[in-house]
Amino acid sequence: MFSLPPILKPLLRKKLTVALLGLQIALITMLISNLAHILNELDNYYKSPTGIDDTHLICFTLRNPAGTKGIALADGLRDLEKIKAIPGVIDVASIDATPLDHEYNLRTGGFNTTQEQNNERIAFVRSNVSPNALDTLGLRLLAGRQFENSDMTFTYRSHPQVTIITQALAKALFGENNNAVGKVVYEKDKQYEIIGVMSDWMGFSPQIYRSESTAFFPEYNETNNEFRYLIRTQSPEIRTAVIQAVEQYLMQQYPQGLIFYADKLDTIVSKYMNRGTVALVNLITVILAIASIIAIAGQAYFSVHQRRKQLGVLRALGATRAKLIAQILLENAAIVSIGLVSGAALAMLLSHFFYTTTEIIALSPWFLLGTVAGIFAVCLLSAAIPALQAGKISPSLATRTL
Amino acid sequence: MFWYQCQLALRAIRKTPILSSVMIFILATGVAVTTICYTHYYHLKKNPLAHKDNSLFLLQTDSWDEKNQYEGTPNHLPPLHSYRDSIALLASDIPLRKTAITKWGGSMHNPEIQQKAIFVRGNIVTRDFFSMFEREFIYGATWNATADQQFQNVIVINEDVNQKLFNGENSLGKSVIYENIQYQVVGVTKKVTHSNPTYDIAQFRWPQPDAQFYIPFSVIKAAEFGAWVRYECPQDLRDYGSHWYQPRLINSCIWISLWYEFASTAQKNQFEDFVRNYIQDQKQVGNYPRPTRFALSSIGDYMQLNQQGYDQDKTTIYIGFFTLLVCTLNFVALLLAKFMRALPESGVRRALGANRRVIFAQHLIESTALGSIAAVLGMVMTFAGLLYLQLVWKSAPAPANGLPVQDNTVLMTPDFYLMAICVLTAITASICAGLYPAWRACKVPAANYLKIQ
Repeated sequence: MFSLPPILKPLLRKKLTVALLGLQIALITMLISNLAHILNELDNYYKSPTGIDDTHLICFTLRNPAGTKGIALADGLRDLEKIKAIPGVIDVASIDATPLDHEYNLRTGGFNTTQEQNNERIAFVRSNVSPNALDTLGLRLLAGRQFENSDMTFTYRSHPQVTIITQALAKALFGENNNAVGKVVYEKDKQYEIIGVMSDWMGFSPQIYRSESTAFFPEYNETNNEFRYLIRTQSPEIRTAVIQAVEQYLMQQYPQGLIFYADKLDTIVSKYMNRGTVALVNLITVILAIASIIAIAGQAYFSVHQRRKQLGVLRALGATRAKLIAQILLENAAIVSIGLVSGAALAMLLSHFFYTTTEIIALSPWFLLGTVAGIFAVCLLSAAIPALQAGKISPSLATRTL
Repeated sequence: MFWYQCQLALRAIRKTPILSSVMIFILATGVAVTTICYTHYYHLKKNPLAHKDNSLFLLQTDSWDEKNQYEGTPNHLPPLHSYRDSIALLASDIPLRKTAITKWGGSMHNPEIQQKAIFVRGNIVTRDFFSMFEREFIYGATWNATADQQFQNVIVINEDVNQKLFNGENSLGKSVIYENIQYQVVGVTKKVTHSNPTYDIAQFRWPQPDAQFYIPFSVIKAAEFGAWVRYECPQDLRDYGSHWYQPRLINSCIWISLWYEFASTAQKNQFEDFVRNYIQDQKQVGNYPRPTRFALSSIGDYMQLNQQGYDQDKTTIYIGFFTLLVCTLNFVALLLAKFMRALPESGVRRALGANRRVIFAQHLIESTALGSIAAVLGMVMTFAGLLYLQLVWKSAPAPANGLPVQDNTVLMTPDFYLMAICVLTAITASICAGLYPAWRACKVPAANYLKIQ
């Protein structure tokens, strides 16, 4: 019923209008699909589970002033026992870095699988922990055994012989299907036996490359000025009361000059969210979406509106209302399709650019399809409204003024 | 004539209120998004001490090991110095002012009142630091020259710490205990919220919170402290676990930045000779194994050098640019529709004797008028957008340890320059967008339109 030539012919006469609208739609498709994709990626990243039981955890830090002696393990253990007795506390462990905190205490290392160390080193983030750290953090042991008290070593006095690594690090070292437990890894002149593989988690500094490659060592530093402990509580709500009780105990135990601070682990999670970037991308996407809907709709509206009289004449010549509207919509769809196709290509190109220059993964086709469908609907809708109005003009009125 | 053209333009705008407001809104949106996207890049690139670019310099020397060049900076010169080199290079009397900078943090409290100690971070500097980096004093002044040579327990604190420990009162002559050592307050500085690292650029690419206290450089020998800086060693001496302090004072590991201010180029040249001679001398005793290479860079130059850090952030600028492009294209399309609708009028004006140039100008003025209104609306939208972003940024939870974090809302502050950019972009875009439609309009064959009228 609708042959294409009568639709395409008028389009060829208005090359510039078609080109402008097509280009706009292409650019809008490219921008919105990519922005929505980036937002979605950020959202997924921040919402993805941390791998540890962060809603039940508190990480607290004791800081002795410089020049004073550190806390001996015996004193530390006494503190831990006292803290463990506080109602609501399930487990306490010593750890030398705050999990998920991107700002402080990032210590890295590199393992080699051979003693000659001639192949590439596999980078990881390290932390010294007490034996029960895995349970306290809520990490699962996938293979091997936990640390035992006999594994514990003391900085400057002895050196750890064993390590527990995350599954991600095990895969990076020994490949997908190889069992890492029992293998020996080398770091400069030191060597460690891998005694356990733990479940993956976000690591000590989620924003750095390969943060999930974490290695725990059973080591305690008695000379350090800064001590960090993890507390696992019975419920998320009880944590505020536990922090107060711990603070009270420590204030009695240590003289003035000591600093104590405690962070709920899920607060730290919300801290590393880069709010600025999310807000900026969010703002741009929303503004751009509103502006482009108005822009496309406005343009489609005015272009059909302009031709109202013409359409009236067509009506006078015997075209039915339905045929008129279908004609307009088809014409619009033709222009929009050109824009959408080139827009999709541009979007993939931009996404490829992001993919190669940043860490953002490639645009998923679903986002592109969604954007394309959305823009298509907006375009047709905005052309349909004036087309419906134009259809209503009585042929006699339309022809009179000419 | 011009006034008459303006009147015509306004009349034309009033005649099509919906079309005109859509056009204004679209262009304003484009301009606002562009300006917002540009804002934080602009603040990151801004150099608050640009007026000192001819006199204030960061010294880098190639003290790295023979086999490997330093990889951390684009010019392959380590940005920091070892304590050994710092002392020798600070000894020169040639520069007008000179300072070493390294960082330290710890607990501080006021011994007169019972309160929990606060956690602070600050800088170890010489007395010249304050005038070199334009730190203003609320009370007191910098310490005397002897404190830089022979350690004295003096400290300069900032407004923030003064508020917490002394309730904001004049604390000159009072004592604070910092990391178990008593210090006497000799000055209180005004808090600075720069959007840019200035003296921190040797260590950080991103803006850092302002130091909360300043202690004379001579403290390094008097108290063992864990410097809060990147501590790097040539020949892979690096051992992150160790906190041994004494080796730091003699080895080649780097952890101190050196800054110099010169009164004249001659003075700078003279100092360059001094550095060259020092490196030559050090070669005799086995240090500086690499070819003699050093650099004195101003803050502006060093930022230029470290450009990549900021260039990663250009993504938002591209997005802003594309948005502006979309909006301008739309503006062109709508303008075209608007002018084509008014063609009969132009035809009559042509027939009444107006030449093409006048018609062209009239349409261009109309488009520029739309652009000007869009500029005003765009400015309002930019303000609102930036305000929103500042609010969101502020809602981030503070760290539990109480250390200050960089106030990133500074990066989203609108200023006069940005507003000027906003207005200029809107007007330029509207003129560019108006060119083709206006040309089409002035080519109208007058006779045609007279006929139908």
